[in-house]
Amino acid sequence: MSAYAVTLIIIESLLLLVLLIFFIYKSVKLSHLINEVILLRRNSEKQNQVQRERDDFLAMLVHELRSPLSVMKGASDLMLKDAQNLSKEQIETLLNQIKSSSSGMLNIVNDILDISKLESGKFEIVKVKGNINQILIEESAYYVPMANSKQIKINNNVDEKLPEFEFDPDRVRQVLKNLLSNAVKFTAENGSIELRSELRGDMVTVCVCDTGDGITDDMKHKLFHKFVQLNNHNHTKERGTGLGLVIAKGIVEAHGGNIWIEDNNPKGSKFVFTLPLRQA
Amino acid sequence: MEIKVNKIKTIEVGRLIMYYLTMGKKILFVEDDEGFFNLFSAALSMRGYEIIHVVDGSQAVEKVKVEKPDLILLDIILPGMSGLDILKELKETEDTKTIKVVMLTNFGTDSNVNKAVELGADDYLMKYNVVPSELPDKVASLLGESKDSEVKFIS
Repeated sequence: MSAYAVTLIIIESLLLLVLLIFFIYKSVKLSHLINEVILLRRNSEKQNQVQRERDDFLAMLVHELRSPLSVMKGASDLMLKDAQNLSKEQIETLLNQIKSSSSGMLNIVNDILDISKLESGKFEIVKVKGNINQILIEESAYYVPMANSKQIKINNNVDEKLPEFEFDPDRVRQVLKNLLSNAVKFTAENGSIELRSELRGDMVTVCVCDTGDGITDDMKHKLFHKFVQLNNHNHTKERGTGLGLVIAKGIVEAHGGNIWIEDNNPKGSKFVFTLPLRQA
Repeated sequence: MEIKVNKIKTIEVGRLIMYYLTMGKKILFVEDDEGFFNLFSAALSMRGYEIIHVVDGSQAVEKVKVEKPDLILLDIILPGMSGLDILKELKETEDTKTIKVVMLTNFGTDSNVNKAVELGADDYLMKYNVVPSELPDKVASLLGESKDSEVKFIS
């Protein structure tokens, strides 16, 4: 073999090697590009879904505010135009309706403010040493008339030996109000609701158990996320913005506790939240 | 002073006439929103109509058979049974099919309006558009109590 041929073979194989390296480099780059495109698409899908959820939430919010506003406007119009035709009782009913419609709207606005504080990290709690059982009993008493109208029994089962500890009483009341009003709303007539407190290790545990329809495993986590509301079947029209549980979660977590949903035996759901007995 | 007295008398007489015209007329109001119920029932009872309130959709048909109202105000989204299903059942039943039914709802979607009209609803009102003080006139015209008995659909 001549030296010329050897040089030619070496040059050829070097050329081939360079080409091979070039192709490998290109294909790696291409696969990166493909991955990037896939990621981008996935992100945009996620963004679209978030956008859709936001749109749905906004539509629901507008509806929740429009109803009480229309009622308030209608009631004041009627009283201005037809005051002489309305009886004293009718005027009283209309005024009470304006009052309850406006306080319902105020609650919605306050919920939205709480949510925005939670999102921006400006949510604050003010802890005071107190007796949580007293708050549980007071809050459950508040819901007794509403429960009675549906023949629902509310049973308190509090641990008398619970020591006093530090928590934000107003915010804990807010959590309880949310859980109890949901329990009364979603429990059928002749059902029952149990409010329980106990000490589990270092955590004060509060349960609100009901004999309602229960919650599917899929929904158990979703309910604590924003813009998610329990889908109502068979045309029930329960009011609410779906923000209550998100705020409840924020309040409990700000205390250093947890909130979750379990199945209640034999029927219904059990909302459990914990608050630490001692400060971290 | 005299003018004032006369004015009061005119109002009283007008009220008496209105009461006389609507005396004994029953309206069955199927509505689960307490706010709208309180508002519209105040406007209607002001004119002397007797209002019967039903919250649960599944009890509406039974209540109609018992109470035999002159007119039914029917919400669409209800607990128990939807307003459109109630309307269908009422219009298919011999005893109840002649009773006037006014659909009263939040959602004026074309499909709902068309379906309600198809099923035999006598009118379709959007809650937000209803002026409470004009509701009694609307009801009176449907019941043929006023000169203007022409019925217009609001969509």
